[in-house]
Amino acid sequence: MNSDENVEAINFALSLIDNGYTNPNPATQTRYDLQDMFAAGKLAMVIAPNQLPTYVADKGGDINMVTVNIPANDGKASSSVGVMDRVMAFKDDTAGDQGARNEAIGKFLKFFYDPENYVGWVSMEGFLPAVNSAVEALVAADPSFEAWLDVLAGCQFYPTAKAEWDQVKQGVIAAEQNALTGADIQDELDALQADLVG
Amino acid sequence: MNTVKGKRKWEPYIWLLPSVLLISVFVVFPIIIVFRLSFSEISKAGVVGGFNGFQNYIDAVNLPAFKTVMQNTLWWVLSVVGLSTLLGFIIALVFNQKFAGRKIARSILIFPWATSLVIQASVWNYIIKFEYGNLNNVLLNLGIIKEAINWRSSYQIEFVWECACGIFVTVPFVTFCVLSGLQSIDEALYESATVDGAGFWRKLFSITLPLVKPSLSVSTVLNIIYVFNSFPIVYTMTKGAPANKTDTMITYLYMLSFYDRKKGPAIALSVIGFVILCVCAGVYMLAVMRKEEEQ
Repeated sequence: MNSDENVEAINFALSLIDNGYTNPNPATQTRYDLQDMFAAGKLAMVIAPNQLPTYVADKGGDINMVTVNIPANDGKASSSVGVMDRVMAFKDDTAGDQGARNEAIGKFLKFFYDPENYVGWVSMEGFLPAVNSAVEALVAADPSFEAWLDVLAGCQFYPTAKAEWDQVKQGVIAAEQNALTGADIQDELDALQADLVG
Repeated sequence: MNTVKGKRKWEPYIWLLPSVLLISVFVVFPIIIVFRLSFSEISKAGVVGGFNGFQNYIDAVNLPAFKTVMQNTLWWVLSVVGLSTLLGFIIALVFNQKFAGRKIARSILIFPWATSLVIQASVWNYIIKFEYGNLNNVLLNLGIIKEAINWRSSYQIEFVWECACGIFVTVPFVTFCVLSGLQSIDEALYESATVDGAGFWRKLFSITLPLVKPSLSVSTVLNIIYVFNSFPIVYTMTKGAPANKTDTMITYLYMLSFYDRKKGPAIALSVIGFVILCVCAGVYMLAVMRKEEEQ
């Protein structure tokens, strides 16, 4: 957690606040506040999820906008953060008929990911698809959707399956917020690293 | 006759039984469970393990934000209860006088009390927003300022805004508690004091305050409990950010339990808060009751 790259990245983000390039109260503003301002034409640039065009349209916003990749340092590839929900099935060795159990799980997953059902659900939620079979139908319904598929390919997803993820996430948030109030980010990340290693 | 007397002896307890049962099931029993859990090992998923002594309390007290949160809670309760009691008392004195529009003024004062705390805090958030808040808009349009001011430029100022919102929503309760006490004071006392040459301040300290003390005591004790346990204002305005610097104990233990998933220390904190409240409320009531007995 306390690598030089992480320290540099967080210090860069903090410098954006100090130099007035971004909102001055990031600790108490959510992306919905910023999206509202963007939809009203009050913000030039915003980092937002793929639902933003729909969100702006729903707010009655009529702004001319384009989507670009998040900038990266020279020689580094751009990356986006991916957030996903998970469908989980749990192994139960004590269950009576394992065969019937596995069949039921498979049947449900087939039903859920059948494009006839899945496409409607993905569209309603404003998500990106997790299976290729849904892509064709989604692109046909909304051609602008195709641009997001390239972003999806380079996404870094939150490692929510790892037990220590909660501690890492809250620890980084606390470290960044402490740095906002004057703490040294290297010290904060060193403390977080020590806490994680235990 | 003995049977009738015997039945009469038990009658009050029978009437009290439903309330006692309700309080036992919905208050006492959960408190006992919480106390038991505070001495148990609890996993991130909420699975309760075995007895682990005082480890949850040790972990809670050793949390980096514990001292900040306790200080914030103390300032939060002192400022909100103290200032709302003072302001509420003054407003009650004004509302006790006859003036045109008194009924309308009293009705308007109820709004902050009747409106949900989340809505109140959201409105205050909106008013003090830097980018498009009402406060900046009004001041800019009146020409009082030339540029928008960041009204939340530091966490200390954000905490002050939280306290201001807390005072705003608490003043109506104090006002109406004190007003009910003021209206029960016999006018003849003020008339004879006037005849004896007493001025405003003499009447205030010798007649009004002593007779309004029971109402003030009730409102103060209740306010200490409500304000200490108040969650919506802090959570809506800042969620304790940045880095728990604007957290009070209640919002902190919520974040600890549901965001950090440290359920053991969170439960220990809730027990610590419960004990603090019981001690504060108990000490205050004893002091007031002792003074009343002396009088």
